[in-house]
Order: sequence, then C-alpha cells, then structure tokens
Amino acid sequence: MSVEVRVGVLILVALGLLGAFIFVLGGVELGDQYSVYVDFDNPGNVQPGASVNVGSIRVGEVEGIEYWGQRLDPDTGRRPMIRMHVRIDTEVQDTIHEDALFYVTSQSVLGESILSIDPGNPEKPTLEDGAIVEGVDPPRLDLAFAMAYELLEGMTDLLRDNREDLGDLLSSAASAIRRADEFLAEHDDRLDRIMENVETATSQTNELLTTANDTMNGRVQRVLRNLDSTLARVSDDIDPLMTDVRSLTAKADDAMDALGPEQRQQIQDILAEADRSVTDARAIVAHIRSGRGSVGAFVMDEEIYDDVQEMLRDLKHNPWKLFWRE
Amino acid sequence: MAARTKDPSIIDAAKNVVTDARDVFRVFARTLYYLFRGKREKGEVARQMFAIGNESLFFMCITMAFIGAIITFQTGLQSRKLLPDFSLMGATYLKLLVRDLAASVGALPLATRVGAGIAAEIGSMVVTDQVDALRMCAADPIDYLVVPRFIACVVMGTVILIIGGFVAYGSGLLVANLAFDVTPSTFNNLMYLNLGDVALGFFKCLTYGAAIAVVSAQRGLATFGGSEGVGWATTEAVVGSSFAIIVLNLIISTFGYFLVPSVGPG
Repeated sequence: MSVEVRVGVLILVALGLLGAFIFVLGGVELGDQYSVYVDFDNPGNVQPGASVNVGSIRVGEVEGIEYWGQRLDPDTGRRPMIRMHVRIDTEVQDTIHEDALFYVTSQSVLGESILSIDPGNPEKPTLEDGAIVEGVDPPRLDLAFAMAYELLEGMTDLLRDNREDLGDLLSSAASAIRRADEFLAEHDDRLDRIMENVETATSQTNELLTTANDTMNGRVQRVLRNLDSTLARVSDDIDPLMTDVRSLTAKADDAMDALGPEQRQQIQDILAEADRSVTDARAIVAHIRSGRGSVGAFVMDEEIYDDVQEMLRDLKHNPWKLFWRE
Repeated sequence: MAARTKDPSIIDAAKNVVTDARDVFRVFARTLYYLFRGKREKGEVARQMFAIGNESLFFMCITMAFIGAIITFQTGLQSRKLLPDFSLMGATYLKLLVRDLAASVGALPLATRVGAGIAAEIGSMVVTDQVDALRMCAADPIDYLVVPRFIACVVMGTVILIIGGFVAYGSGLLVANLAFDVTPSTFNNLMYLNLGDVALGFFKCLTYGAAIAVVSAQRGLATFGGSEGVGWATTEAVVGSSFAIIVLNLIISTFGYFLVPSVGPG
C-alpha cells in the first residue's frame, strides 16, 4: 500500500468520524420543526439553544428569547415580560395540545435549565404552528434567598441590639414556667377535681341543651306551621279584601263627592255634637268611677253593693217584708 | 534569522521573544505566499503527511486515551465529592472535549512529536548548509521545506486530533462505566453540544496544526552551531509550539465565547 493511500485512508477515517458525529449531533435538529411562542414573567436561567423536553425526551430547542418589557401584544391582549421562541419537532405536534403546560425545570439538581412540556389533554385540539401560550414561571429561588437573607439579617440585628432584654425575657419566662410547674404540682388534686367538675358541667349542659333543643324545636315548628297557615290564608284573602277596601274607598269618595257644602257642614256639626256628647259621657263615666252620686256609689262602693245584695237575699227569704215592715 | 545567546538575561529573553514572534510571522506570511504561488516536489506533501499523520497515530491514540481516562476519572471523583450525580458527566465531558480539550490538549503531545521532528529535520539541513545550497539554486527554503510540512501539519494534525478526540471520548466512556457505573447511553449525551462547538474545535485543530508547522520551521531555519544547535532548535520548537498553542487557545476561546453560542456549561 503506497504512502498516498495510507494517508488517504487515515483522512477518510477522520472525515467519516467527524461526519458521523456531526450527523448524530445535528440529526435531531434536521427534522421539520414548528414554532411556539411562550410568554414568561421570569424564565429563570433558560438560554437560547436550551433543550425542550417532554418528560426526559428532547423534542426541540429554545430558538431565542426576546424581551418584551410588558408591552401590549395586540394578538393576545397580554403584556408579556419575556417571550421565548421555541422550535418543536413536527413529529410530536399531534401530541402537544392547546392546554399544554410549558414550564422551566433543570436536567438535574445542578443541571442546565431547560423548558419542559406537559402535553395537556389529548381531547383538546393540538397546538398550532406559531401559537402563543403562557408559560409557568419557575420559582424565584434567588428572590426567596434574598428575602430569607434579609429576614436573617433583621433577626441577627434584633438579637444583637436587644441581647440584655432578651436575656431578661428568657429568664423571666423560665421563672414563670417554673412557678407554673410548681403550682400545678402543688394543686394537682384540686385541678383534677376542677376538671372533673367542668367535665360534668359540660355533660349536663349538653343534655340540657339537647332537651331544650327538642322542646323548642317542636314549639318553633308548630309556630312556624301556624304562621305558614296564617300567611297562606291571608295570602288567599288579601286580594278580595283589598278589592273590597278599594271599592269601599271609591264609594266613600263618590259619596263625599256627591255631598254638597251644606250637607258637609251639617255632618261637621253632627260630628262636633257627637264629640261633645262623648266628652259628656266621659265626664259622667269619670264621675261614676270616682264613686260619686247614687249610681257611682252603687257601682263603685262595695259596701252599698253588699247591702243591696243582702237586702235582695233577705227579700228572697222573707218576701212578706215587701208588704210588711217590722 | 536572528541568532541568540544560550544563557540570556531577562531583557535578552524578552528581546528574543519579540524577535521570534516577528520571525514566526514572517515565515507564516511567506508560507501563505508560497502556498498558492510556489512549486513543490512531487510526492513531498504526501510523504510529510504520512510522517506527521500516520506515524503519529499510535502515539496520539495512546496519549489521548490516557488523557481522556484521566480527565473522566478526576471529573468523576470531584463530582462524587460535590454531588453524587453523574447523569451529566458525559454531556459535560463531551462539551469540553469537542470545544477545547481534544484540540488543545491533543495538540501539545502532537507538538512534541511533530514539532520536534520538523525543527530537527530543517535544523540539520541548515547546519549542514543544505538550506544555503537551496538558496544558491534560487530555491526558497520556505517553498521547498516549510510549505509541504505546513500543508501536511494542517491537514494531518487536524485528522490526528479528530481521531484522538474520539479515542479520548471512548476511553472516558469506558472509565465512566467501569469506575462510576455510568452507562454508555447516559454518557453519550450530546445535549450541551451544537454545531458551533464542533466548528470551534475544528478551527482550533487547523490553527494548532499551522502553528506547530510554522513555529517549528522557524526554529529549524534559525538553527546555528552544529548538532548542539539542532538540539536547542528542537527544544525551542517544542516549547515555542506549545506556547503558541496555549496563546492561540486563549485567543480563539475568547472569540469563540462571544461568536459561537454555547449551550450548557462552558
């Protein structure tokens, strides 16, 4: 084998290895892909070129990340902070649906951030080429750490600045706990009795409430039934009653309209006379109630009443006294 | 070509570096010129390719196999201390290998073998006045001596480094499987790689091949002082080539960081 052939074979081997490697490397990306745009407020550490996975299977890559800064997107009406351009293999397009979840995760604990897809409900339509969806923001660990750091720093300052006060507080708390412990140990029997009494009282209260509840429930239910019945009757009668009232009112109005001024004056005079008569009657009644006069004495004075009653009883037994005086 | 003292002071050493750099660029420029305009002896390029490529294959495969095994083993050990998760070991190792290690680490042993050979061969011709004879025949030694080695070194250096990279990957896979129970399917993870990484690594291979040839040829042409001078030229060729590889790695990696998009770590 000549030198040229040996050299050529070695070059071909190297080119073959390199070509195969490039084919394997680029093979996944050479297939047809379609675009999906995913909006995030914070996409974490995902970078252009990051893998797009369903489960652990790579189905595409992040083509680019664009800063929108909450500008209004007229197509969606949303104001995304970040819009991620994702290229997904067309062969999996029919498995990714409209309600698919796009979320940022990592390949391993310390691995690279990637975009992962939960494909969604198979009964929903598939996600079209060029669709714009909302992604699930990853947890802001940096923010959590910052807040935790601030909290710890505040607690540290608090402890450092109030060391003596906190020491006093702790010693007081310890003393109080110790005393409480002693008190409990000292009055253990009494506390047991108190607890038993409380338990008994609670039990009796429960029984009482149960009884009252049954009783009251029966009464309340009866009252409610009666009320319902009454309301039903009222409801039945209210319409004809109202009709009668309206008719009576209309007739009264007609009658009043039919009266002339002279008749109205006569009525007023009659009413005034009646008013005076009522006033006199009230005066007479008051006179009687006060026990004045014969009638008043007869009505209000029990002694006269008893005398009359005695006289009548005597006359019943001795009717001759009507004709003969002893 | 500038002559130099054997025990230079710091200032002389700095002057020598500047002078060598200027001479290297001069040789490189003339090499590029004769690459397109010169006439070469028939079969010389193939012979140089065989010497640089085929005859270095075994040495490079063994070296890269050990390098790959060592890197993987040490990576696994450190990972196990930090976090016992080897799922991304292959992906990270491949990323480093393709983007940098296969070319940069592989070019160093290649420089020791090929660079030393080129410097010794040309240096011997210089001290035996064969180069002066070429000049007397109106033949530029760059055209006749350097350009064939330059072509051979660029082509076969790249070939050898590619093959060495695959060998390093295979040995790393083996070590990961034997030492850390990482399955080949887990190790064979191209997640962090893209074509930009391959292009960057390929460009480094070409550049290092050219650098080894130019630096070694320059040191060979600058040889003086008989056989002892040839020895010094050989040593300086290896040192200069290695230094050139490291400096070029820094420059290319810096540009590559900004120009070639990277996925994942690194």
